[in-house]
Amino acid sequence: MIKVSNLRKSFDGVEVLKGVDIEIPTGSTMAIIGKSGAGKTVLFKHLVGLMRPDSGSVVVDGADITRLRAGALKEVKRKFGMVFQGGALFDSLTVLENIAFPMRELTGLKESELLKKAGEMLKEVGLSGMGNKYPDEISGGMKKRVALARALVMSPEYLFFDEPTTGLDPIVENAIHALMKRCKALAPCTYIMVSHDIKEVLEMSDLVAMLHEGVIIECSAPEEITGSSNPVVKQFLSGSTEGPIQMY
Amino acid sequence: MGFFTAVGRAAILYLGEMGRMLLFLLQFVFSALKPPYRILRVIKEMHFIGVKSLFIIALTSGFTGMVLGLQGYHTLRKFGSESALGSLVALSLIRELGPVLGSLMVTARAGSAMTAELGIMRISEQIDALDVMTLDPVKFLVAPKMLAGVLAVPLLVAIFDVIGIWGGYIVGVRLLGVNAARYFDGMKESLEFRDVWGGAVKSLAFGLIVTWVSCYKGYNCGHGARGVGDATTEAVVLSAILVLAWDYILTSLLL
Amino acid sequence: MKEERMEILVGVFVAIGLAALAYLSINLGRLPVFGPKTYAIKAVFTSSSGLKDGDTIEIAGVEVGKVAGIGLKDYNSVVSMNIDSGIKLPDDTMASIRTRGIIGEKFIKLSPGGSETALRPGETIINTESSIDIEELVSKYIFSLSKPSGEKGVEGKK
Repeated sequence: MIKVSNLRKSFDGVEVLKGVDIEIPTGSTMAIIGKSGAGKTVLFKHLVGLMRPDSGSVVVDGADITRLRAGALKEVKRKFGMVFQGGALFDSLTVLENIAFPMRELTGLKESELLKKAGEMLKEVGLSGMGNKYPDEISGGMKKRVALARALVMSPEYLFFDEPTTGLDPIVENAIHALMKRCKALAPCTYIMVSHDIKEVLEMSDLVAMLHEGVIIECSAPEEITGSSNPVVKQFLSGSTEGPIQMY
Repeated sequence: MGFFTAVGRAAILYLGEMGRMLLFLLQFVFSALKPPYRILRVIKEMHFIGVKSLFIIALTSGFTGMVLGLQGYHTLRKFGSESALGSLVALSLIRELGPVLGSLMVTARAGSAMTAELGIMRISEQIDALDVMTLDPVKFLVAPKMLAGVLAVPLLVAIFDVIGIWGGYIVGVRLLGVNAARYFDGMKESLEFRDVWGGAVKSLAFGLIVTWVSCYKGYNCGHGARGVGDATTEAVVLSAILVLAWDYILTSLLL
Repeated sequence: MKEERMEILVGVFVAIGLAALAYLSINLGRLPVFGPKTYAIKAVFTSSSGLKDGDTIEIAGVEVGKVAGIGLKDYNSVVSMNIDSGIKLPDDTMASIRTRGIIGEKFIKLSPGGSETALRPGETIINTESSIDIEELVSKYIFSLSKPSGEKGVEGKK
């Protein structure tokens, strides 16, 4: 379980997170929504330990990662996997090498074993035969799938998705959703995703948290959040330009 | 008041940047000392910084030596001391031109490319991806580059010096008719091991400066293509300025 | 295979670079470690004006060593010299500081005497001739012109 309490962070005097409180139960799929620039990515980077907060805590299975020393932090981060928005594949490595990379660097597996495992994982995400291509030779949807394979290969307990399907066509989007669901069924783990695709959020998650002006204003199951009485949540879900959320 | 505010703000900005650069250097030193050592990655970077710079170093040093031969000959002839040409060429190359021009060429060819590479890895979140995988990006990406820079630049500068001396030989001796024995004897006469040592110290320092600045700028690059472009420009300009400034400081310390 | 090729190239590069460094240090810079073996002797001069570390020591115009250091003892100049091991010097060798060419590069000229015993490492040459100061020479010359009697003295420049 990840428990965030009173998380604050400012950049150049502008406070982006103004005391975020959120609980992500083990095994759930949590979606964090909010308008662009609301600080979702900043919150996300705090969850995976890429950023250190000004104050507050991020407790992962009992360990506060904002206060851990480098060695202990590493141990906690081993539980994490992340699928970045653009995939963040290493462009100097082939697709197969990208998937093999974390195993090669972090485990004692033999070269033949890890290549076999990477090949299996590539097949799992439906890209067998693409192993020798470089990341700039494949499409955005394929990159996302390779990134998912690269994250899954280390069997993470917490898998983070930064905008899992933004910029992809509806068919690829559905394929990725199906893949995410299948992976979760195969190896149970906690999914945390940032998204502003309402359809995706309602379809995939079992908890939705809305970040607005630096705080979580509502956190509930998708069925409940659609019936929320909060005008901000209502406006965001409906996508209306009329309401408390200012356009700029 | 506005003036003092502006000066104060600029001072804080520059001091902050200097502090961050120093921290970055410390981070490099610690991560390079900590096992596991990634020798293969250092070799890869040596290939990039060293082997691939050989051609441009050979070209620039050849011409530098030749122009030194030409200019030196015509100046020295006025005083009837053409025989000092060898020591003029060798001393200028080994003490100054080799380390400075050599590292400026490395900045232009390899430093800018390193900044762009790290910058693109930063904006495409590849550096964050390494971090999430619990691989220290400084150790994994930066340390091999900086180590390779410190190792490769002195070697490149030594090659620069030697080719430059032979370039001076071609113009001075072959073209303008200075006695070949005098060219080399004069060189041996005036050159001391201290000069060669000083040149090596300089090139070592410049190798560190160039890769340090280039990696720092790329690693901390701003957003988007513009960010990478700006980082590359800043890296080249700052490397060049620091190389020249430290050249003065080191010269005054070594003399 | 690709990596092997890269390793070879880097190896060649390092070898060339080290060779260049060695050429500069040993052949041109005469790195002492690899240079010919030498032994140290000293000589005391009343003045070593103009002499520097690294200046040459010659016998009959042939270089036999280098000046290794210059110090002061009892208001005299003590010059340490490194002499090539192959050269044996009699203990009555005379050392004189001479000037080469018009720019005034100094060197030490050794004139071996006829003694049977050779100087051992660390010993001192007593028989020396200091640098000739041109200014002093000129003033002496003027002085001797004005007072042809050849009387010694420094005062009375008129």
